Amino acid sequence: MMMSIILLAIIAIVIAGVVKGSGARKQSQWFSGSSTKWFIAGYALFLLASVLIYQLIPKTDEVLKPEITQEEMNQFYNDFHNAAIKGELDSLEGSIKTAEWVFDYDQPKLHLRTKYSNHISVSVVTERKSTNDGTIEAYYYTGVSTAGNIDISNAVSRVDLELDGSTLELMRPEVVERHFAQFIQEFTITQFSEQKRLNNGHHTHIAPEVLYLKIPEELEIVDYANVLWE
Amino acid sequence: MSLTEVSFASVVKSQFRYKVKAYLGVFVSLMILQLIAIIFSFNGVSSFGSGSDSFSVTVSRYSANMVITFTFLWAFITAILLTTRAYRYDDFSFVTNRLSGSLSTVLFLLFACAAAGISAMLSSFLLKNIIYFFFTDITLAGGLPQAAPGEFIIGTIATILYVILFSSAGYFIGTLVQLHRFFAVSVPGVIFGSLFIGDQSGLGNVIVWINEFLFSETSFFIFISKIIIFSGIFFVSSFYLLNRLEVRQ
Repeated sequence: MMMSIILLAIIAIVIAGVVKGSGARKQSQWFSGSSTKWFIAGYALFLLASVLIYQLIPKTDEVLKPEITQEEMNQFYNDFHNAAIKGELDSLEGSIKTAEWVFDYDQPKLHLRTKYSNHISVSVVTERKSTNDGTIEAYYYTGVSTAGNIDISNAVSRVDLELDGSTLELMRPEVVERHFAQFIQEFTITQFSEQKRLNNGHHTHIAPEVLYLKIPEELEIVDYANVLWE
Repeated sequence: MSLTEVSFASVVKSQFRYKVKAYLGVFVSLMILQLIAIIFSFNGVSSFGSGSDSFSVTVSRYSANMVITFTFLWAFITAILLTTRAYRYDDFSFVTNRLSGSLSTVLFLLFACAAAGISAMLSSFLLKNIIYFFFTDITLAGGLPQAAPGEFIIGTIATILYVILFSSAGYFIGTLVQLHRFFAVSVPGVIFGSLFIGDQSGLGNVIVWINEFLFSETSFFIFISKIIIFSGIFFVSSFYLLNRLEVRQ
């Protein structure tokens, strides 16, 4: 609060300087009388041209939903993990299967670890098949991640898998850096409309992730952490 | 003694016309400040982000809110400037009295505020165009919003009314300062003092009160009424006080 008051005072001083420097009269210390009219007319035309150009830009019908509340996100986390344990992620609303892999594997043990020794906070759920079919099926599930009312799911890096001998390695492909822009209505418009709530959110919710492994009946998994259920 | 009878309305009209032509510098300062505000807005009026060791997300929100805020301050300071002696003496180019001079100045302020409010709202299109065409490394979320014409008109009227309110407050404070130099120190002292004291005590915070009374008003018609009443009080009080000033020597 104190900082914003000081900032406001500084801005007010700058504005006072500009107003005083320009003066009110046509002839000021910065502008000659003849150029003043041209500056003003040019600015007015510039603004009107901006309106016209903006209208010519093709618009998409991308409608932003209201921001997800913390309660809604907590509920989704619970539902997501319950569905993961029951093997019902495919039918859970909001759950998205973004990747799947099939590896041929006929060894008795499988090591599971992160590739670059860094921590990856993904829950691993394993389901033992009824047969030894010599394949490991892996499915990666997540949900919608949001920042405010923006869907940032594509900006959150996904888990990738690689089979190296008897080790299944988890990795994040790359560090993803994304900068989003969002145009919001001016407060003199939103003050009298229903859009206020839509624009105010600034919470980020990162969706839970689950790696679902379907393994042969007699395969033993070792050296892994963060397994929810086997 | 003049044989020509000049009506009060025609004097006000002549003075208003004169001021519109003569005080073009007012619009130059408006233009400069709005362009500065647009440049400041390139960083977004607000931003937030989130990240981990594997991703980093930043969201910047863009609007002409900073341009509008700068316009409020411009109106406030310009109104103060127009109450200074040098500008008040411009009225004596005409057969005039204090009331016609003040009235024409207020009419000019209303005219300037309308232009300022409209240009502030139109500047949002300029800002959006710049972000859209030149900030190509940023992902645009939510597309390009298009306010309904009705919403945009309401927003523009509201902006103009806010600008008028700020200019009326500036005009009133400028008038007080013309009455006595003491107010040149005491008024800013009271305003900023109340902000600091109100901030610490939690009581009497002017910003909180203004926010609740004006900026949180969701009924457009009640908002209009509040602005008209407050601006009217400021302007009428200023007329009354200016009439008490000594005549030009």
